[in-house]
Amino acid sequence: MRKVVIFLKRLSDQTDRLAMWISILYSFLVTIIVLGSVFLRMMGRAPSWSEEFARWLLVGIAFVSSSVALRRGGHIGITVLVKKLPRTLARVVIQLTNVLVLIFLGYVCWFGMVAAIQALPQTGDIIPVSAIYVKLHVPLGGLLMMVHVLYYAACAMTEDDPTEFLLSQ
Amino acid sequence: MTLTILIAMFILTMAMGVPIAFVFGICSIIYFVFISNMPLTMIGLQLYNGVDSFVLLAIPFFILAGQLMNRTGITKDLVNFVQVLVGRLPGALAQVNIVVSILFAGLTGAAVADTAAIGSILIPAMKKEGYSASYSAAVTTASSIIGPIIPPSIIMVIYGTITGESIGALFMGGFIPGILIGMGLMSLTLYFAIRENHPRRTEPIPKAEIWRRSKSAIIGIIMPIIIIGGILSGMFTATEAASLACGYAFLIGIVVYRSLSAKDILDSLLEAAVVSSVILLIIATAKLFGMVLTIERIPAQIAEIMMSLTQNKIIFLLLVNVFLLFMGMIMETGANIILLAPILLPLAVKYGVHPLHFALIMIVNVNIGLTTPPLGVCLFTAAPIAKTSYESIAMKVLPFVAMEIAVLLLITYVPEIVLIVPRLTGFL
Repeated sequence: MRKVVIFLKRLSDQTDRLAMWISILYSFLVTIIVLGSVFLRMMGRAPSWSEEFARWLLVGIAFVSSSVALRRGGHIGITVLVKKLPRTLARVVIQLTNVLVLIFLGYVCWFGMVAAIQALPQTGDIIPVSAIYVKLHVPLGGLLMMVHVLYYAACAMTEDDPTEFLLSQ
Repeated sequence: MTLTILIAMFILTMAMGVPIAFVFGICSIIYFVFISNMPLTMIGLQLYNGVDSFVLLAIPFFILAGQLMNRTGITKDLVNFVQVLVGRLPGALAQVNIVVSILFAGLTGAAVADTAAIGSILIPAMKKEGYSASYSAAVTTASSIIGPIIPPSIIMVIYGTITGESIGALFMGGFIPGILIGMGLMSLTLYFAIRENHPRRTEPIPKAEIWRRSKSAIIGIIMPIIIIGGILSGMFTATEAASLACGYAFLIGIVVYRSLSAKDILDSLLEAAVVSSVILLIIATAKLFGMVLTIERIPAQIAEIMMSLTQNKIIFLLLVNVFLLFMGMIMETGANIILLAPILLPLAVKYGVHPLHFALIMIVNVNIGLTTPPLGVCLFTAAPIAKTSYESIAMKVLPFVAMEIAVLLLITYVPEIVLIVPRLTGFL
């Protein structure tokens, strides 16, 4: 079990690092694009593609950066009750929570992928690029989050205090 | 039956500690798989459509601008400036805390950012002057809710996206309610200061020092002017104005203050993406859950129940306020807006409430939930800063919450408090 936890920790750390850099890149690009388009518009040369591209980056931020938030326990939830439970019962509740979240994320990955594949022949309203690249962020975010939930589930099973590995801190 | 199952699942998963974004998702999946025969492909589409919006881009921009401004050291300058204004009142630092929140509200659109930025400076300072940790944290937490009421405001961006209400009008409508809450909290602080003999500054500040502090603070105060001025002039949308605020913050941090390092910028960009994603994921999954409610005709059922209870506008508004205060206690503010605004707004209009007036009632109301247990997000943020328990702050914040509810009732029953500024600025 120890080896599994170490493996999941390494995987979780690496996916977290990847998601962090994607988040920084998207956040930077979206700021530059919208700010730049405001200035260009004032000079009478507004680019037509900027709004659509910025929206696409926002979709990426919503799902990829969510995994970074999950790794930090940043998603908001009520944890007061679980923290008051006896340790054994808390462990059961936390693992049940992890299973439910994993099932939901499984659906997000699968049907997010289905929606992305269906969007293959579609392009943006202005940008002539397939919408699959944008819609793939939904299953990608789901997958990254699943890695973190699996790591948290393994820790909640093996560590002394399972409440340190709640999805919401 | 379906409604009972959904409510039971909702309460159970929330109580188990499932993050709210996932509560919506799990309940929706249960509905799609076991109750309805809707195609499951809707899940992927709805999650995507929920966040594919240019207006929502204002959220990461407002967070980024707030982050950058805070890292430049502007919060300290605002505190020093407000010391000049209210530092000689009884309970000086508590008063400063509230007035800084009003000014800081122009830099940030979120209450939690307000709690963290102001709390990290003023809570230790208040403790040093002899205030209790829980009281210092309670004042910080209570005044933080002014952040999303005075523009710019992330919650108003969400409300505008969901209901189609003009974000400019919402921003204008928030001014007076925000200032009234500030004044209410200041008067309560004054009462505590006199009763418990809280300290105040006794020596005057030299004129040269007053001028220096004012000059530094003006840099921060210009930012809301850019945002509001840009929107009011009709030159920019809320999203564009928010991006300009980021540009201004970059400029100030790099050129004027020269305090922004590359690490600060990278951290701010990451923080903006991560904090926004928490809100955006809630929006995406709440939209999915909202679809479930619409299919089950739950908004219509609630409307029928409400109409059968009362035809009186005054009682309706009272019932709505009680309901929203309860919901604010157990659910995140954004989630409350996304889920309940489409249900309650048409109902309020049927009772003859002005849509903009109702918007502000709802926004002020759900924001009070940020300071009430069990899901008082600002309480969670303040507790580690003050190094005290969440429960002790929750107890100390109660009188402040009561004051906020009093202001809420005032704006509920005197609509002009909300409507006058939008009317004067041409939004109505």
